[in-house]
Amino acid sequence: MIVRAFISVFAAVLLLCSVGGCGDKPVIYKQGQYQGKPDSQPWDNAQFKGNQVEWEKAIKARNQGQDENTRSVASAK
Amino acid sequence: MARMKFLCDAERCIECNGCVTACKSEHDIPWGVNRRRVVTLNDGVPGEKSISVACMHCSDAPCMAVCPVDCFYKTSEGIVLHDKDLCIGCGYCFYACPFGAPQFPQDGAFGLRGKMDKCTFCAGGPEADNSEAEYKKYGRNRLAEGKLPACAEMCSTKALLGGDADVISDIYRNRVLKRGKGSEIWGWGTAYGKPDAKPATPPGAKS
Repeated sequence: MIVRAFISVFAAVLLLCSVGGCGDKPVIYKQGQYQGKPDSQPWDNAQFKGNQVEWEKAIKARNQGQDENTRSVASAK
Repeated sequence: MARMKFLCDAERCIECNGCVTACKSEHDIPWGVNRRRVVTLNDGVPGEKSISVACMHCSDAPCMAVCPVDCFYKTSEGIVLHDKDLCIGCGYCFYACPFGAPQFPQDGAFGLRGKMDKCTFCAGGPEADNSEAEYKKYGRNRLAEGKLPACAEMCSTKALLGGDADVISDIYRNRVLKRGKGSEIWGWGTAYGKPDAKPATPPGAKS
């Protein structure tokens, strides 16, 4: 009985350990550094002046510009 | 936050190499280094398929895992970049990469291997954005200008899509649903009518 309980607990721990490494690791950004290397965010420049929302808006517009279906509808209006 | 990816539609790619040219021109890449290239399967056989390949900015990048000097890093947009000041040009990343993305300039005597060069998703490197130093080492930083990579934006058939993974996968999904299959993909149906469509003039009628 004790042996069976021990085996099941051991199996559960083993399972947790094996799936623990799955999934994306979070990208760490702090103080102008990515994973220990210095770099700046794409909106931290003279053009966007640190405005992340404006930058994301610009990128979103460019993203949608690749869709010929929505682009042709927008140009026909 | 967007997660940047490339997606190439093999049904649309016409092997024009416009993406390769755009990349070389945009970043002033030296002779012998190809950050992007077009691969064709069954070349010359009817139904051949081409696909544009560069760094795929892997979520779990093997180049990052094998680099002995840990010169790679990933931006908050999921773009895999590297620091050329740290790179020793060992070539481990080239062996690890399943896409053959890392390139090594061989401009010295005896095939000297220089520091690694690869697609940056037009996001430059660690140097100050749009600075001369950044341009010299990594090419232009279009992302800091609010633009997407030159290869994807220059693609004439829009086979190569680049940008936020959620958005470009939606574009691709809608495209696949709309274009149908068989001759519809090639535009035959649009140009000459579908096989089941009635002819414009009935048979036997004078035109």
